[in-house]
Amino acid sequence: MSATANDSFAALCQALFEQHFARVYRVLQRFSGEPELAADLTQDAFLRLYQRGSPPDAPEAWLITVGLNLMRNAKSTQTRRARLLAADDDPAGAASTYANEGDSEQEERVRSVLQAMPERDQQLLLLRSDGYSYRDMASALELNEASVGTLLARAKHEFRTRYEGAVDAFGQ
Amino acid sequence: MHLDSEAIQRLLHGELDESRKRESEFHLTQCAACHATFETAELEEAWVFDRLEALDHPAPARAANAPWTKVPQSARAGWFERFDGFLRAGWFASTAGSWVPRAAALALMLTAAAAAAYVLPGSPFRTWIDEIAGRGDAPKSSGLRIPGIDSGASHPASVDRAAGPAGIAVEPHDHLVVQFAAPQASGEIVVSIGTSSLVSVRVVGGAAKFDTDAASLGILNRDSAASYEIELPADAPSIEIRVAGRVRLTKRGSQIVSDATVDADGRYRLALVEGTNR
Repeated sequence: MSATANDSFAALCQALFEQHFARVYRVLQRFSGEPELAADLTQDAFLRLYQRGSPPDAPEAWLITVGLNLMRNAKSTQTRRARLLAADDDPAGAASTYANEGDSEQEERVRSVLQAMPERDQQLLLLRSDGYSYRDMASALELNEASVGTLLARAKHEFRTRYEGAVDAFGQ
Repeated sequence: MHLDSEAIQRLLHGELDESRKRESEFHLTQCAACHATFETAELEEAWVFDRLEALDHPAPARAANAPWTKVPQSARAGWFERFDGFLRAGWFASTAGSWVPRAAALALMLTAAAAAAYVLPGSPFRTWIDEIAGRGDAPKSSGLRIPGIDSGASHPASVDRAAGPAGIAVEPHDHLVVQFAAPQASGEIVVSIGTSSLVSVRVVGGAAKFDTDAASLGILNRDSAASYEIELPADAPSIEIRVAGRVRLTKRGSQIVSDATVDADGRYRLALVEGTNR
């Protein structure tokens, strides 16, 4: 690539970072419950975009797809590590991997309800709550775009039912 | 034939093409069952997304710069170059080369900076201005005054009808909750979308007190019979209006979800009387 093309690609990456960092970070942070990890993986997704050297067809969808894949890899690594630790000296094991000390009661409840749902439904809710389009969601989660609305409706209903069940169970 | 779940969701999210959208909207005017389903879907979404906000934590400061940026932008360019670059790249790109809009933008930004200095808690600029204006004992509030208005937690919003309706204007930042403390025996909230960068609340026909911080604007309206005109900035990313803790209107980007009725001028009208609008 010529110096001019390099410069314009770098400028494009910078613009994409400024436009989309907060959104990608929020989805990953809500999904993982770990701000540090989410920030690292969001940065990593943007770095991969930069290293790619050319813009993808749909940058928003590309960035969130890469971010979610990185998160999936990180989670499976963490789970493996937690299992090994559990075998040694951590009886709580993998289940405690994502629990943050000091979480509010409300946050804990939302997180436990969300994590009890299928991963695809969790990600649908998080992506839509951040305004991702049906096309981007379908691309990031490898879904048929024509059924995104139906899946989303089911996921919202599932979340609400589980959440209200959890509130009833705690008598609050 | 009724609208299926896919169509309801797509209508809710602006994902239908123009002709399907018109057909579906027309169907909602004719079919009470689908209309009710649509409203339930809207409210359920607002409810779920509201719960998801409990998961949010800000990004660590170290993540603010792009990973390929070794030197922060601020160290590479002076403020004037950055400001000029901002104007050339942004809103005024179409008029690049002409100094008039850029000078107007500079004046606008200086005004905004002065306003920010004025509302900063403990700001000497505020005291200075108040002294010049003969208001040495002005209340401390993060809200801006608007003409005919007195605001702040310790001062009731004015009731002086001759001076016009009372109110407050605040920055929406990334997320703002406008919280009415209680339902009222009468009165309504009329919400419109405007071009101002501030969220403004005007009290009409009564009094209220305000309590503000960076993320919320409390309206202490117990025992009030007033109505409220609220203007939300079109480009505000996230605003919620709650009455006694219940979410009545949510604005996320350009999407608005509410149980309000929409009047002929496109304003959202929310009754403040308990048990209405639903």
